[in-house]
Amino acid sequence: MINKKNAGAVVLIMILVFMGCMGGKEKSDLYIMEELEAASSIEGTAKRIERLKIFLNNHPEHMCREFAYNKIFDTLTEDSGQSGKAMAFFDEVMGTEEDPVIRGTFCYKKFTYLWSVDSTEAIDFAASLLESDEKGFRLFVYLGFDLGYRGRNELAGEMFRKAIDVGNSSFENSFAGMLYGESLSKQGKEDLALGLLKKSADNVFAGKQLGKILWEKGERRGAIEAYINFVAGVPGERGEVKLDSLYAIVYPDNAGELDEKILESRIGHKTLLHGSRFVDTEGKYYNLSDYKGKKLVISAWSPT
Amino acid sequence: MEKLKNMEDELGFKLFLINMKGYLNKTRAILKEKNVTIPVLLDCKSYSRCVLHVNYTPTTFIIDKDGIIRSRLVGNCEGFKEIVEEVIERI
Repeated sequence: MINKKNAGAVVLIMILVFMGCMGGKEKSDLYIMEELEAASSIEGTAKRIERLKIFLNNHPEHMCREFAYNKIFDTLTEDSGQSGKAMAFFDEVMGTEEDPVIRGTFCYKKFTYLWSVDSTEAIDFAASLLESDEKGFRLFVYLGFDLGYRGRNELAGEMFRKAIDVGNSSFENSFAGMLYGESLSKQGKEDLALGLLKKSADNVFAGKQLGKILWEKGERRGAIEAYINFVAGVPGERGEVKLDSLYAIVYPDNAGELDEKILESRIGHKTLLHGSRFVDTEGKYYNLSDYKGKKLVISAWSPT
Repeated sequence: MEKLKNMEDELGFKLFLINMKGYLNKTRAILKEKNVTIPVLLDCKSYSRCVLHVNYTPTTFIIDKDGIIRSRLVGNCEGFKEIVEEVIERI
């Protein structure tokens, strides 16, 4: 029987049980990461692949399976004699994996490998993805980047157009639109590029290309506005686009207002932060939702 | 970023880093070498890619007290700490 005398103890036990359950869950992500890292670090290739496959069996739903796929593929392609096995592994994964993001990342992995051994085969593979049902937004963005960098601007443009088709948020659409606009501009299709970049102005990088085109067309105030949006989001580029000089040309009597205009643009975003739970490198858990009522600064970066 | 962490109490904010890549031991070694004391969150669910839509690293988000992302800054540059401080004070 629960009475007043032992109610406190019951509540304490319930709290401890709850914390115990949470503790088990809290540790799991970190343990999974450690398990993956241990498997990836094994010296012998056969043993490494075996352990990574065990990892995949143990955690078939965990997002970190993407790293395991990539590591197995990399291990198999380290030895040119194993490339057939790498392709078989690729087919095996694509036969079962359903997450479009992970499928996309893995397709891009295959593309980069193919490019290192036979660029024609890589281009054929990329072109085949345009006709496929793949819906990985980043796949087509990455392919577009890569192909553009390698001078294949037309095919790069098609990749960005496909990225717009498969994008499922305004952010993705404006990012892909900006890239497609930039690609069209490189192909000398300035008018098409201009229309697309204006539609994609939500993306800060659209401002750089838009500012350049508008300035060249003599639409100087529009160019300044575009450059301000760009520099607001990418502060390190202020000197690169010579914003201070251009602003002084267009607004010679109000050059002192530029800093305030940049700041207004910089704080003008209004997107809700979706809370999520994270474990840190020491195993401590944080839930971003717990910080409502406090300002946050979150920096996403890749130290390795 | 460590310099920015020293301003947490004065400016009333909380600072986090999200590690977008899954190399845990290398990350720990770097944090130790550089004496980083900021909590480094592991991005096990691809939050930065799929929710925050991060395409360039580093990308820094500044969020107001209502949980609204008010600023999204790409890259790092001279004077970056002052830029972040200015935004925090204004929002």
